[in-house]
Amino acid sequence: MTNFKELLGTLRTNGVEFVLVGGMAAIVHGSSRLTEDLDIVYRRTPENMDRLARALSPHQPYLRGAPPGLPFQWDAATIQRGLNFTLDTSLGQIDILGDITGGGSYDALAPHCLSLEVYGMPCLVINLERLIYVKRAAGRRKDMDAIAELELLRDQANEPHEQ
Amino acid sequence: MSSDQQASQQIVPVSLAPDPVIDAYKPGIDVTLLRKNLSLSIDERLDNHAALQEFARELREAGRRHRASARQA
Repeated sequence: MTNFKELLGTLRTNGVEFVLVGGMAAIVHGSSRLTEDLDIVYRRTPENMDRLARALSPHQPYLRGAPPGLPFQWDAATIQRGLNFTLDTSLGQIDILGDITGGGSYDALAPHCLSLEVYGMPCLVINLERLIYVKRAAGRRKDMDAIAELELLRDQANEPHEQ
Repeated sequence: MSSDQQASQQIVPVSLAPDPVIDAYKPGIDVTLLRKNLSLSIDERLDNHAALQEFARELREAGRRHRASARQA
C-alpha cells in the first residue's frame, strides 16, 4: 500500500519541485476512484534531480517489475540519463515523470496548476481542465470512465448545488 | 536539440469537445459520491482515499487467504 502522505512529505521536505498528476490529482479534484500509485512530473534541472535523488534514496527505490538483483543505482546521474521511472519504494509506488503526453514537462504544466495546501504543505496540482486534457491526449481505453468522471466533476463545479 | 527540449515540445493539440464515447460512461457514474467528495476538504479526500485503499488491501488479503485454504481443502 502506498503511503501518499509520507511520499508527499519526503518530496516537499527535500524541496523537490514537482506537479501532482494522475489519479491522486483526480482525488484532489473530488474523484471517487481508487488509485495505487503517486504520479508526479518533476522539474528537470540538475539541482532538482539531485533533490529528487536524495528525497527517495532512503526509501529503497527500485524499478517496478524489474527482476530482483538487477543493478540499479538511484541517483541524479540515473535520473539525468532517463526521463520516466516507475518505482517501488518502501513508502509505496511512485511514478516519476519528466514529461507526460498532452502536458509536457514541469515548466509546460506549471501554468496549468493550482497551488494547494496538502497535509499542511504547499503542493502544485494539475488543474482539472488540464487533467482532462492530458487524459484525453493519452487516449487510453482504460481512462474513458475516469475522463467521464472528471468531466462530471467539472460540470459540478460549474453549477450551483446544495453541499 | 536536447531530449528534454524535444520532450517538452510533444504537446499534441487535443479537442475538448464532447466525445460520444466518454459521454456514454457518464450515466453510470454516481454523482452523489462526487458531490459528497466536493463537500470535503482536500486532506479529507486524501484521508478517505487512504482508508479505502487500506480496506481494498484487507479485502485482497481475505480473498488470498480464502483461495489458499480452498486449495488445501
